[in-house]
Amino acid sequence: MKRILVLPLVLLILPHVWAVSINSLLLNPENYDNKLVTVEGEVIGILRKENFVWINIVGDKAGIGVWCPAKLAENVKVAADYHHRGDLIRVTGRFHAACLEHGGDPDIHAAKIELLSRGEEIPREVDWLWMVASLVFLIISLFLYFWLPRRGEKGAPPYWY
Amino acid sequence: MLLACFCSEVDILPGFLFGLSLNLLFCSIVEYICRTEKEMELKHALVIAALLWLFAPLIGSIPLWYGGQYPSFSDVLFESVSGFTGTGLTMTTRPELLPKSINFLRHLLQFAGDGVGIVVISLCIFGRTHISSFLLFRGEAREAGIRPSIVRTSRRIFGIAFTFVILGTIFFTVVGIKEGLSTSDALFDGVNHSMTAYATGGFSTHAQNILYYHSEAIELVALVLMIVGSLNFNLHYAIITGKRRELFRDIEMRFLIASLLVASVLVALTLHGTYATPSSLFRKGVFHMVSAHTTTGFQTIPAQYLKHFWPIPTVFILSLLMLIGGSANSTCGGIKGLRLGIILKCLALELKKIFYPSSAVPGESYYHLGRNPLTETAIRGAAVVIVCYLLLFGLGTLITVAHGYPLADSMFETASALGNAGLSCGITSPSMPLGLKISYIFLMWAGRLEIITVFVLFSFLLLPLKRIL
Repeated sequence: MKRILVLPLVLLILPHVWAVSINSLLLNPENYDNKLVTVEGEVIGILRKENFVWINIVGDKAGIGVWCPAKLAENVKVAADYHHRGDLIRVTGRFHAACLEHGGDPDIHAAKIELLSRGEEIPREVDWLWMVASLVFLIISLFLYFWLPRRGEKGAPPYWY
Repeated sequence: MLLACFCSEVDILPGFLFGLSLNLLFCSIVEYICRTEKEMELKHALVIAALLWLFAPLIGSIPLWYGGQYPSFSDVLFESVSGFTGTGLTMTTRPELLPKSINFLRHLLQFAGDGVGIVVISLCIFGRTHISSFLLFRGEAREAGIRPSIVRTSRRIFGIAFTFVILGTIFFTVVGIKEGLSTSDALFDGVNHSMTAYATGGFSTHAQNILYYHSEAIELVALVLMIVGSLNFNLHYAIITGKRRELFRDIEMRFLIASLLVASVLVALTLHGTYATPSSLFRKGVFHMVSAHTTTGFQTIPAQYLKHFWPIPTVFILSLLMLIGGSANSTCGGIKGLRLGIILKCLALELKKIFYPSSAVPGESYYHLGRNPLTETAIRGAAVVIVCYLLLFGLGTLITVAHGYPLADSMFETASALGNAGLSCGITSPSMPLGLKISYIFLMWAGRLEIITVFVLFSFLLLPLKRIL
């Protein structure tokens, strides 16, 4: 009996809060427009304003802006770059295919943000073998550039004179 | 290299060193083999220009390749060609993850190759051909030798370009800080975006392009810089020297204003149901229309929207605008307003001939750096280039369709590559077939060199073979 009662309830709620990929949202904007969605993505940018924050996240193949009150985003700190892996977050909020409040931008107005994993530093190591090889190559090239005799330059000034 | 050291990216320095070394080596060998005291002729200059836009991307791709963020060398080469030709189609899906120095290099390639380089070459070399859109450049290029004119013109162009880039950087940075970026990020993005906006290139430091900022003010700064970059360099010079009336008398300027007005109406009509408010319709519509017309390629919508959200007629209008392009002697790609203006004048002349009595000899003229009679040479030159562009556009579309893409998307992406625009509906990506990557590399190169230069290069290469055979 319980199952019979729970199943329709789940089916009713499921489409509205089911985690979708950002790419699916952008490929089918009309289907998801103004609906509650849950997306997961890596933070690639945080633009903090006075009371609100824009968090740009990127999923499998696409990115989207998440608009939320500053309090909701207090825990989001690391944006991805060459030296860092960004915070991985799950956002639940209303998707707007062309947001009326934000000049037609596609965005999600977040109601809940969960931090799935904290961003971390990516160690970058110098390959000294390549470094030395490139320096040697540069010295040889410089030597050739300045010392290689140029054809027909006898007494003639360089053209930039 | 300095930026790599400053941003703790020493691990990618070997890429820059190898690139620099190969560049020096290449220059040494070329100078050793080719140096001569003879004066350079037009055919030599055209061949050099064509080869330069072929070899420079090869050398420029080495630091990108060493950076290790691109899946294959074909992607790196594509990125480099897109940079040098000022196209803006990109093979990186996450520009944020690139080292700052590599990201700066991508934008610098566009500024050097497209923002300044092509204008210098256009004024000094292409301007001497009868088929060029720079046919009527009446400066030193006509009287002086090619080399002195290159030096003098370069100085002038660099001066003007740097002024605009510095102004753009200041505006982008101030607005960026106001929109919530840190000062260093705002400055970095500001420098890069002002370079690519002025160069009508379209590369961005973010995967979401200009949409990343969700800011009207940043879009406005980009819009102004795109329009400035799309204007004929001679008009910049005329305005600076106080000849402001030139701006509204020029055939190109009139064509640009007319086509922008017509396109605005058409875009507004076709996009009407997509955006609920006039302000968002205006913001999205005008930005992309200007971005396409100036062949910049900045986007404030995701690439997916061009396929799945925007109506097909709007996408067709954008394709057409990318093919038309901006002004001659500017950083824009495309057919150019001057050529289309000449063809429209020719049409008007033909109509006049029908309505005038048979004894009358109607004439037509146009204003471009002075009043010019509409000669057969000018008409033929414009017509040949337009036909070549359309043939290449058809060929590129066919190749894309043959790779399994829909017709509308194929037309859009081909127009973007050939017109050196850079707007993308998502076809351009690392997963794109190799054959298509090579085809687009060719289209970007041919489009940037106004096609005829490519024919000159092929003739130059094939002529000795013909003699041997």
